[in-house]
Amino acid sequence: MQLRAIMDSSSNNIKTIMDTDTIYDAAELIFTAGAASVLIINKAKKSVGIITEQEVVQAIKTYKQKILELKTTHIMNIDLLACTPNEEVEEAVRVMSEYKIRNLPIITEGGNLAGFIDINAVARAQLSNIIHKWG
Amino acid sequence: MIRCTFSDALKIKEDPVTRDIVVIYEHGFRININVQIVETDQNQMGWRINMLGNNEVIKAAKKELFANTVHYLEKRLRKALGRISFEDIILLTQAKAIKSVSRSD
Repeated sequence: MQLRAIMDSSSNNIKTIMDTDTIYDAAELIFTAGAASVLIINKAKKSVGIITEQEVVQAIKTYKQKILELKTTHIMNIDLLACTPNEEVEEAVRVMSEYKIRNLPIITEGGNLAGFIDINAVARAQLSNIIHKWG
Repeated sequence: MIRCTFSDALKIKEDPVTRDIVVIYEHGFRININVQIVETDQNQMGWRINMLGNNEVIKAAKKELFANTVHYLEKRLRKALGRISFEDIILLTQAKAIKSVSRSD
């Protein structure tokens, strides 16, 4: 099964936050919107990086109340490991387990960040594969 | 799996004379200085930063350009300067640039 097939059922709405906002603002957005990742944009509306739920939790542990002042750019990722919509679910499982990624970015051939596939969607797809094969 | 980046400022090329691999850093400074990262056996890291251009301009901007280049590499690789190898930098040049994002808001 290709990743394209589970993209629709997975959470691929990308929330944005400014590079001038604080880590606390990012944490609030992640927890209130239930987003797995937040895209960081600058004044010119250009995407400059991404913060994931895991990094926010790590920042709360590391910086404590300083997250009220530290900017999102302090912990954002500029580089990402991703899969394309045409890749198989098995490849996503391999990447997610090897690099401990819970929300895998999906990038099209043209360089468009189309969304994220979370670990639950991948697990559901794997389970459905098993049931289809043996059931 | 593909490596992607929001900040595609490194380009790889081959030196036409020495045929060595040279990584060009496209800094945002409005000065005509070419910043290159090349492999070397003269230090423990295995690479160094070269600046090419007008000597006076290099002299004036060297400190800031060097700090900017190092900050860029550390931020992308999420590694301290002393742990960055030339292979790491080559890997960065192979990242696919993220050109657009499908946003919900």
